[in-house]
Amino acid sequence: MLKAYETSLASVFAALTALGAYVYIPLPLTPIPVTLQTFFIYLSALILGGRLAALSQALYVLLGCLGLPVFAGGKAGIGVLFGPTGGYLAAFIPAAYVAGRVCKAGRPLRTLTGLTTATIIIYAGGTLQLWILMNTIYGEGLGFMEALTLGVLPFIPGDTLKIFLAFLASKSRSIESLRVRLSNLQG
Amino acid sequence: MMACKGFIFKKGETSLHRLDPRVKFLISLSFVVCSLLYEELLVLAILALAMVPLALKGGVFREWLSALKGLSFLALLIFAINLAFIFFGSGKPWDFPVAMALRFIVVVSAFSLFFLVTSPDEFGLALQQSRIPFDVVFALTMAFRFVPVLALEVQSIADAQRSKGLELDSGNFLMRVKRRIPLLIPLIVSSVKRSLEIAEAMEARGYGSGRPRTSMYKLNFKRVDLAVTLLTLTLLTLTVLLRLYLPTPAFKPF
Repeated sequence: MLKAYETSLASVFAALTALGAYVYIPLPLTPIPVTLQTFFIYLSALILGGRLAALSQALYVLLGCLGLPVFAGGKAGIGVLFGPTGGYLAAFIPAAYVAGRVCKAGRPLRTLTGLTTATIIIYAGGTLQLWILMNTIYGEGLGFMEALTLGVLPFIPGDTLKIFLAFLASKSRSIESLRVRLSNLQG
Repeated sequence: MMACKGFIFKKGETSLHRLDPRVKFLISLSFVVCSLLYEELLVLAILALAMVPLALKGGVFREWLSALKGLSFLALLIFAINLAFIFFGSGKPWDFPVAMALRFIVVVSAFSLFFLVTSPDEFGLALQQSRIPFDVVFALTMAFRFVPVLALEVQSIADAQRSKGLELDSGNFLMRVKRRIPLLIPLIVSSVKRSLEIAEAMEARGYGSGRPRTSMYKLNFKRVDLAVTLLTLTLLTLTVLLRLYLPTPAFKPF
């Protein structure tokens, strides 16, 4: 059984990721848009730590599967999870967990490594599903390198920016004090 | 955030409101399944039009339309992307972009209709009685209610920062990104604080006391619910069968 503050924190971060899905920049020639979701995943990992961050992302994905318009650009339904962008969504959960475990306050290098690993997990999950879908259902015969150009390369600049934004945000004084407050709760 | 309005429950006493939430979900889901099975413009148009009498019946037509308006930009985007794909030689027929935009509208507006006539409490009750653990149900309904609240929060933070002289709408792309930071940090801080306050309220009401929870209301499946369920299932089976036995292009669900 979760404690009350764990439940409410997980759901507020699920809602934040949902909000991030509305900040949406479509890119030409790839079905995957750039969104602010990953920024909130990084922050959930930095503020909540691995377990709760993963929980919040799981809640987010579940929310979308139940039909609420919380996926990128207001999409909804369990169909999205099996669509071209579904792999990215599913990878949010392990990515948040790993980032939360690796990142540590006051250890900038370790924190940046954790966030980068999370991004790589999201890329891997997303591109894998995109590649499999393109080759089976769409029958396009997409090579793996082509899948990388569709599913990874266009997003590297945006994600680098978001990692730095999240890193800077986590070092701001107000968020630092939140983290202290939360660690007091846990202790 | 226009689309958000089309997902917030509107109180009413219509026959649609009185249906069991599980039945309503089945209806919305059937719309989604049907729209994913077909990529013909005609079928998708029929599906979209079939929702109009339902929205009228539930007395939520205006709200439903506002959801559609909020979605129109994204629908146009989907249309444009598919049109571009045709130019790059995807070999699709010319009505395909319209059909895809329409499919998007059918999927999202079907869910919008469901949430317009189902109160969050009913929704939670339906989840709970489908044997999903209470923790999960509670967290889900809470997250669901947080989304519009936080959306409003962003607006007021933006207004507050503007009044302090933050220029949000000028400068080049990187400048604009940089100027969004003063929106994000207060948003995160205020939402974490809010959630801690909620946690205190939850504890004050005995959350996590460990004893099994009872609920005041029970959903009961009435005869009307059964009739509507059977009707929906019949229609759904018919559409699926039609799809299987009519000669149409290769199956592509997405």
